[in-house]
Amino acid sequence: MVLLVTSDNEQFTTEKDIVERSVLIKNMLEDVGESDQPIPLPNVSSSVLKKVLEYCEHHRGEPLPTADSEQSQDETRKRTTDISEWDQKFITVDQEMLFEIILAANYLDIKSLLDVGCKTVANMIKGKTPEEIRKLFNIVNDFTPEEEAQIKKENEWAEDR
Amino acid sequence: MVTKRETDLNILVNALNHDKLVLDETNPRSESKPSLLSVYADCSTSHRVTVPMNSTRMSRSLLRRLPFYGLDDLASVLNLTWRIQSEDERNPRTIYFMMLERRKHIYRLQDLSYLLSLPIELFYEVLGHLHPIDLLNVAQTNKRWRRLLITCDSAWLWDLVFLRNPSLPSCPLGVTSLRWADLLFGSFICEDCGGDRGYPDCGWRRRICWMCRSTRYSILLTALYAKNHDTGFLFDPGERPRLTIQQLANQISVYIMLPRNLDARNELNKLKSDPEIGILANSIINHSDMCDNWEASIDRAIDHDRNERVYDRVTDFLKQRLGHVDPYFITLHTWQTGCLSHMRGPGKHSSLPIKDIRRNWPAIREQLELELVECERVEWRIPHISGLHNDIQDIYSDFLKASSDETVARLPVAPDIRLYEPFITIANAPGYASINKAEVELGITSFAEQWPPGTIHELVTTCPSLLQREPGSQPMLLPLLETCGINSAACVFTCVGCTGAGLGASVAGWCLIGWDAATTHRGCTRLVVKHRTPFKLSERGCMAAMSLLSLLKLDPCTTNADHLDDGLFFACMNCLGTRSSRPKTLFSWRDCISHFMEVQKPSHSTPSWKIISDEDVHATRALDAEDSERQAESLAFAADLFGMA
Repeated sequence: MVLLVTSDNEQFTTEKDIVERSVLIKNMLEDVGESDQPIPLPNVSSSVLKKVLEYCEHHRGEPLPTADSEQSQDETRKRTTDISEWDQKFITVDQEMLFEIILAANYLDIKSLLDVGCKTVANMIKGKTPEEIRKLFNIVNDFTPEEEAQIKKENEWAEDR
Repeated sequence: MVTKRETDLNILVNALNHDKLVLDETNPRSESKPSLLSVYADCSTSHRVTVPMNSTRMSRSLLRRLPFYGLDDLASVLNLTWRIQSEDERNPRTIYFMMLERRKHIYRLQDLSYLLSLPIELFYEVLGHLHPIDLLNVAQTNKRWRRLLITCDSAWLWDLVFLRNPSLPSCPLGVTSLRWADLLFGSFICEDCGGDRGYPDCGWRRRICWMCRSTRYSILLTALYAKNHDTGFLFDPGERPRLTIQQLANQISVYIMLPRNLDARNELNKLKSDPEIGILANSIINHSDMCDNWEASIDRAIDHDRNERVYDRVTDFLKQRLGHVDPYFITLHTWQTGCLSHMRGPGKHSSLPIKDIRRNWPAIREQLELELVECERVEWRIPHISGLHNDIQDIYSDFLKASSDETVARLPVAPDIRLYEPFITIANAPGYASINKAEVELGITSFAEQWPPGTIHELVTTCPSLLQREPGSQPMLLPLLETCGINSAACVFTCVGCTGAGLGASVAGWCLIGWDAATTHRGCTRLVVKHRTPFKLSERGCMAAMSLLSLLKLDPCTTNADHLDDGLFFACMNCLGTRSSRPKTLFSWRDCISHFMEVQKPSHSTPSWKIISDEDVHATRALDAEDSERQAESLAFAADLFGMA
């Protein structure tokens, strides 16, 4: 069993094979060896860690990405743009939690979870016009009308460099 | 001050119900070509009309180009049929890909502003999962993201998105992924002339329109194939300077364009087998093939999708108006009529001129709809109902086989079962569902139980007309008849099929007295499917019968029709009045009921009869005989006069 402490000082006890989906924690455990010492996770709050552990528990037993399989994993990532049904349900959260999950997955180095988060955001952007993307991210169009008209028809910017 | 242009626009806008039109004067092309004004009709479904602004009859020409202008159903038809140009400066393939994505991903979360604070490497990670089209769109949102994406430093990102979308043609040699993305999915403007319809050309690595392409090709063709008297070529291929990748690709494009030209084929083979540039040439040729296949497949998919969508709209439109119509007939008739051959504008495939179609659209549409309904009825509806009748009959026959002889004897024969409820309702149900065996069996069971009905309540259930006449209240005759047996002479029915035709086919008069008479009449050929209840209890007939029974001092509960057929004759007191004591016509009791049902004058509001004495009967018959003789004599005399004996 592994003891994890979140940024808000909440403790989570979990099984080793679940938590080892995080490359960060896996490396830590390998470096430190068997110990009762809690692992501090100062960048992850308890609510987010709960979600992350839920994800890890569901995917426990699946092969971990190793250095040898990096290449094939990359190939898989290239091909699959879809998110599994369970993952889709899991990631249906508010934008703040989505943001936190992506950050936590990056920090804990859980590639598959990071992929799920990023693909979810990407899917929200897909098929949208520039104006719709602006609305989605609540950003302002800072192009002048002339610049915008130019962007629409210009091509030199994309010429070979 | 209202300018001419504004007036024209107002006419247009009013004509198209305002909300169907968006006038776009900020069209980028309007700067370079101010003589054009683009009018977007119903932007969501990409209708656009472009007309010359300098036309003196602008509004007319503009409106004439809109489908079905000035007709009542303009709005719906406009929504349906017309597609003139693509909705913006985007390549139609780009629009198609965006539409596919829109259909795929439906998310409720509509605010991602929080994610702007993600570290840049994570933001790149998100962008890496996009399609090149989306990356181009993101780059158009604001300056910061444009700087982030449209730079050599982000070349890896563009490479990655192509890697992650293997269905797209890969980036050719000598072109960056960024440029390739723009070429495939960027604007729809020709990079040479600035006109519409600039499609990517893999050979030229430019987005050029058909006209510019043919010009370029013709120039290169001239250069390559203008015959020299000595070598056969203006430029001897062997002596050409070393080619750049672009030049090689251009040449290959030309050779590929001329598959039947022997010289071109030889040149292409030479390039392929060239020890120096053979590998490169093969790679360019393969890539060109791949791009061609991809473009063809996408264009096919776009066409198919557009056809499907417009077809769906037309089908929905017609279904809304007509109910169920077989899609096959819609396809057939819209194609034949041409009035909804939406893909190329109304009337393209019609024998009628388009002007006539637009002018006579309501009539043509009506005709089309009538044809569709008739087709549906003849080809599908009638055979379908006949099929259901057969099914019902089969189930009923099985039921009869399993029933006792007594039951079979009192039930209608199998071919007649379709004439009765609930089977009429089952067979005429809307749609084309097959028969529900359980429902029919249940119907047969309850039908067999109530045939013939044993009580007045069952009769009323069978003949709902009585209840329908006075909804919510007790029918007038019901209390009176409650004590009657259903087969009593007091129960008078009319046949729905015969009423109005003045004919009671199988019984004397046109009233059916007692349930026995009604069942005898059940084979009436006038009964048609649309008559849901074959027999109705006649209130007026019952009144007449009751008054006769009361005159004869007979019990309405027990007296049936057979008891009354004993040679009694009656006279209608309402007709006879007080002036004459002897009637001119003798009524049997059945005649009395028929007479009272037929004569619906105020004088006949209540039945009133008189029993005619035997003496009066003889006297009337003698008079009748005299009349007959006199008539016969007159006829003989007339025949003699005209030589017709």
